[in-house]
Amino acid sequence: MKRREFVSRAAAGMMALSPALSWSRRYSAAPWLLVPMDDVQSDHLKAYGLAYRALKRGAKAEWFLNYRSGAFLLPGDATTSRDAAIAGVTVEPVEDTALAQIRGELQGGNMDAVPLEKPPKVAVYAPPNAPPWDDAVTMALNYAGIEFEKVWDSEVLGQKLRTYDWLHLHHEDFTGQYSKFFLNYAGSPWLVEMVERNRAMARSLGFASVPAEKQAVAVAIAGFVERGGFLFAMCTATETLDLALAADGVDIAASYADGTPMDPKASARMKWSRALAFQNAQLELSPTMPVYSDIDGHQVNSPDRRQPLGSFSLFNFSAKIDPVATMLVQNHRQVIPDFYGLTTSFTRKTLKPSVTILADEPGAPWVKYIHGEHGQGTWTFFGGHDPEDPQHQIGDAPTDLSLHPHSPGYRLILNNVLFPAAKKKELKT
Amino acid sequence: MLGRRVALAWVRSGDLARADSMMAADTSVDGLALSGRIRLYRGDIAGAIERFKAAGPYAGDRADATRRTAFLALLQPIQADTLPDLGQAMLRLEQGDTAEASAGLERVAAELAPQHGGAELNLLAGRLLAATGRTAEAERLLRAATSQEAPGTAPAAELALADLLLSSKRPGEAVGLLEHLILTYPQSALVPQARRKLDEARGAVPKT
Repeated sequence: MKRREFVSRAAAGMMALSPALSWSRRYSAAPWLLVPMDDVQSDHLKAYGLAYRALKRGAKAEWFLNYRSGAFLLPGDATTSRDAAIAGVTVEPVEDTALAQIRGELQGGNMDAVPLEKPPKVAVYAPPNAPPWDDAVTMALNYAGIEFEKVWDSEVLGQKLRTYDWLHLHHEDFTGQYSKFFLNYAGSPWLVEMVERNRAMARSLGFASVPAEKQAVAVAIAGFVERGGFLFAMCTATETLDLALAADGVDIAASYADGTPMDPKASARMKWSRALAFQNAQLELSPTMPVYSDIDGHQVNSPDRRQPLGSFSLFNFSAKIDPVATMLVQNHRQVIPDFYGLTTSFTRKTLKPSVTILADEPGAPWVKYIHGEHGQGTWTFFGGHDPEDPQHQIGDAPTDLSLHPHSPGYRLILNNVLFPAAKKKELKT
Repeated sequence: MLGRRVALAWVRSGDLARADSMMAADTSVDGLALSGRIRLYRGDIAGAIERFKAAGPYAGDRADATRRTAFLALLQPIQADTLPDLGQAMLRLEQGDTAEASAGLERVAAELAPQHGGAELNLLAGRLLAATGRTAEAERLLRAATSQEAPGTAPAAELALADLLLSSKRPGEAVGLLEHLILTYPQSALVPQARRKLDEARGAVPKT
């Protein structure tokens, strides 16, 4: 036999064995799959999608808080294994005896196992033609493979929010002032389109101005939370939602938005009891300054007041006593680089006392990530625009999350998507 | 250096004997690399492999080295020592005649078992046709190259086919193919690329 022929036959033999490496042969029939969320995980963001889709199929799942940076326990069925293999998510087969050991470990430390029951029905508030790459949550949901539907003003005011469990807001300006870009970007095609779209919507819904219509939308969103909905907001939607809610009967919009100038005494007339998170803020009176109030600590668009980016630290909570806050901060990193947005952070002095701070910049007069309850529901605010694009400028290239599969900032977003799936536990008192 | 350029010009004009005689005295690694190409175009598979290996990984620039590696991957599964028709097809490719080259490669591939070079040649021919916009023919050849009898070639063929399907606005079929690639060949170096394509096909990441 010639040497080349021998090598070729040997190679063919090896190749015949290679199916042993394929998924179907590697598939382990262990009853459980542990999805580690520490540094061994090959794609942290897609791991959330894997858990979501398992719930969607009606499977039972658990979230192991503070265990391996927030691991998930999923059924070891063929469908879940296949899904993990395709998504490139690291999973570890677990037998019942090993699971019993893990549960023992959970009992002994600041850890807990939270059952996940049903996948939340997710809505993202965005204009119909919003580019999918300009909203961190849309990007995270798309990348992780979590289903969502888009809603905008007509759906919100048309009671459609009742059909969803979870609502996300991003960089909408609920004061109706077009992010206060109206004068600085006058004539820009994207701004002209934004103004036209909003005016047309306000007219079609019977409102006299965009600020009036956006305020009604804000009230409807607060009602969604009050009835038990989960609200997650980022960037300027956080600050402007509360400003719109508190501005009951107060003109906080510049004349270009509603035809009348802003009330110069607006700050003193705001009804903060109507707001979710903030109180006693001082509003920005200049219509040309793309800043709303002193709620934002970084004031990115104010040349005189702009603060540099630092990093923020996640707080530790008791997993057994405070599981909701613990779920929201599950991460493989405790300290995360900060990132700008039209609203980057929240000044401590404007927070209501009932607000739970989830992450802050130690020593700075602002916090980054907050949570609270309103009626039967909860809200979470996360400052900044895009965790992997710290300076985010208009027209920047879209963020490609396949280049950031371990993004700790994006993990915080996805914690919020999954936590409504958690079964509420009676607290031991 | 000048001698090699002249020899390459003779190659492209189709006068392989003259090119070969010019390279006879050149024992540099660059000379061996070019000599390997001449052997290949003459259909001397064994001689081409021997010279490509002797030239090593550093002869010429990066593009030359990559092309040489691709030639070796193409030739090594082939059991025959000589294949004049394959040499002719590869010479047509060197001369820029993609249509003739792909037709010649397909003819040779039909004579070979998938695991003995047939799949690799179909893959190359399919890629050439895809690049020239002949998508239906390209799809046929790429599907032939996905044979599981040639597991070294099949992942690359499935990825190329998925690319073709995506560019033909058939993302549903591409998704199925990419999932098959990931699940069937999890050890393949192409799995990360397949996942990337899958994300693109599903709209999970921006297109680049």
